Amino acid sequence: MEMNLLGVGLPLGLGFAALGSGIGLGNAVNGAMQAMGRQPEAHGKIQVSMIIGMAFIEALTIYAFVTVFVLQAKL
Amino acid sequence: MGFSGSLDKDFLRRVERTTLVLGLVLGLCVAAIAGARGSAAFITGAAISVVNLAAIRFIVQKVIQPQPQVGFRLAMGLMVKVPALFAIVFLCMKVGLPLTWLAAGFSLLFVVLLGKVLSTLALRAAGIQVSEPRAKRTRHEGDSGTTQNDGTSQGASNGTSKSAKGRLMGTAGTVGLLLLLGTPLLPSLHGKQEGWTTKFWTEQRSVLAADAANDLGAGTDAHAGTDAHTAPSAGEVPADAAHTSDTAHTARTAGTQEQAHTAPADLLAQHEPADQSNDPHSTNQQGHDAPPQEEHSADENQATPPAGVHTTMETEKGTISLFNPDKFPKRNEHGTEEAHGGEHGEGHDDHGGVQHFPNLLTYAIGIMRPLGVSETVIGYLEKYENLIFALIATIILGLLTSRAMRKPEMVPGKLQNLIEYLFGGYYEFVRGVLGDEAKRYIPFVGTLFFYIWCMNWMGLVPGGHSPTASPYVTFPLAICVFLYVQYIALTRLGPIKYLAHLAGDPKDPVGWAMVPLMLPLHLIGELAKPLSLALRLFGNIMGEDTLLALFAGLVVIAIPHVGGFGIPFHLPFMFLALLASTIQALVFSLLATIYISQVLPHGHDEEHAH
Repeated sequence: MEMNLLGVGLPLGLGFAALGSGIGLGNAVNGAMQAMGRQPEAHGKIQVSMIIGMAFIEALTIYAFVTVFVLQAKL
Repeated sequence: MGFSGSLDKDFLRRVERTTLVLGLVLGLCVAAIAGARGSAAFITGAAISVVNLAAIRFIVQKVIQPQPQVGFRLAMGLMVKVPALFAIVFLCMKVGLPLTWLAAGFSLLFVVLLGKVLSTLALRAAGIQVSEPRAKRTRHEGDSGTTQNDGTSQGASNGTSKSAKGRLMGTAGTVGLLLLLGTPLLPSLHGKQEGWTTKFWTEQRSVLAADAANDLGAGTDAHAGTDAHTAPSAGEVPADAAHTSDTAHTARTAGTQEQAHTAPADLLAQHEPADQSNDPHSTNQQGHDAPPQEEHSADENQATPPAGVHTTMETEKGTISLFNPDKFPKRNEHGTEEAHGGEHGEGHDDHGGVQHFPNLLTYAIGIMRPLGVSETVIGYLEKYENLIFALIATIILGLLTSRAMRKPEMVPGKLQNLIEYLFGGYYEFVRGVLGDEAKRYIPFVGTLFFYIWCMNWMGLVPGGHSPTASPYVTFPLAICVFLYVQYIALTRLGPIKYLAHLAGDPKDPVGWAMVPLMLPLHLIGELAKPLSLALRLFGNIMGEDTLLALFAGLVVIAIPHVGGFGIPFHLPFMFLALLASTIQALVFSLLATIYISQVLPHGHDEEHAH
């Protein structure tokens, strides 16, 4: 029986993608929170930018996630 | 004055505009049914009819001017127009555009005309005057020099406010129509191209042995590389047969993937004898010897187009196998392949692969099948599942808003309060990004937001299903955004400025030197926008629904171990899903807003990151 490396690679890859995204998200939220703390009046604008940025960062994990589902067929 | 009031220049102009837009959209849709040629023919047909109408309008306008030799002018105009029209049509046919689609495109204008006339009449019957004042006003201004300066001018005075309203309604209607058209049509088109039809993940519910067999032929067999099989497998059974899956529920052999692994011998036996005899696909190019498990597709095919239609789609095999997760049967020790028929729907049995809650349609089909409803109908129901739920979302939104706003009051009731709060809040939100331009683009992005939001949440309702968990819904939405943004860029910025914008607004030598680098970068970025929009929404919602279904499955599994009652493991994720659905809808529409703001004349100083 052959080992299918995808079975190892897919979860690992998704995990790495999530790791990177997590760091990025942490950075983004960190920056946004500090900015909000410093300038509470700019709260709304910062939040909007933060959400957009988070969406972009998160998208990377989603790509990995979609890839997993796409390649799952080959498992 | 009867109906003549709205059959003026402006009305015709609006008809032309609508026809052009509709022709483009429908033409793109036709592409999937009739190929590039049919699409080109359709669009050409629509364009010809529009040009034709414009020419007629021009001629009539010239003719009715109070000048001598009217007959002569008319004759001259017709002499130019009629042969030109015939020449163009002849040319098109010479090029090889199919006449049917040409005619269909040509008749689109009349359909639009009829629709507009009817809707105007209906609205007038309902006591609403949509944009007629505006039409009168423009005509009044446009033809003030001509003879027909009749008594319609009083409409112009109070026309302004009403026309703005009518225009808003018109825009909203158009956008809604576009979304509606865009959303459902794409999947149906893919219907023609095999595996895609069988919707992505939802086909889970309706897997059939034949489907799996074909998929395995298309995909795994080539890649699996396992050797010890005595029986040559399906080889490359044209995966088109996969698309028959929609109708092929008769083939629903029981058995999860696990069961398939252990391959009950009787199932195998049942499969084997049938293949050579009535495999409709065995003559296909890939040359496989004995595709097993084909007896199912044989009886499916009565409900589907003849196999020949699909045989050209071989190139898509990669895609199919890509997009058919979980349908890949494993081999067992005997070297045969067993499809797992899939008990989808009812219980969340875990057979690997993606899981979904059963929804209303699943139940409805479950009821209908024993009642003897034809497989064609059921196949259509399954095929258009996303469409049906998207339609339900539209209906919900429409009913809700129309109910809430039928008699708007100063002191709003509950429903009106809710709607006003949501819409007002969203409007303020968009205004934070677009500024004063928000009023102009709120119909589009607002529709996007509430539509997507509603669709996302539908997956959380028992018996519901998120259409956005399918790429066939998210991609059309994203393409709508893409097209709309390009349209805004071209009209508001102008082609030259837009090009400059894409080249990074070069001002100094350094900037000009960067153009070769910036232009492709921006172009790719522009194309990546819809892709990332669609993938983000689809991935999020699909992942969310899958997560919920998985945990709900866990509940079922855990029941015997915790004393016969269920612990709702998926409840926390339900709240997460509520939140995430909202945020994803927000992100989608917010990104659309930002893309719009980037291409507005002054909007490209900030938020350039993408």
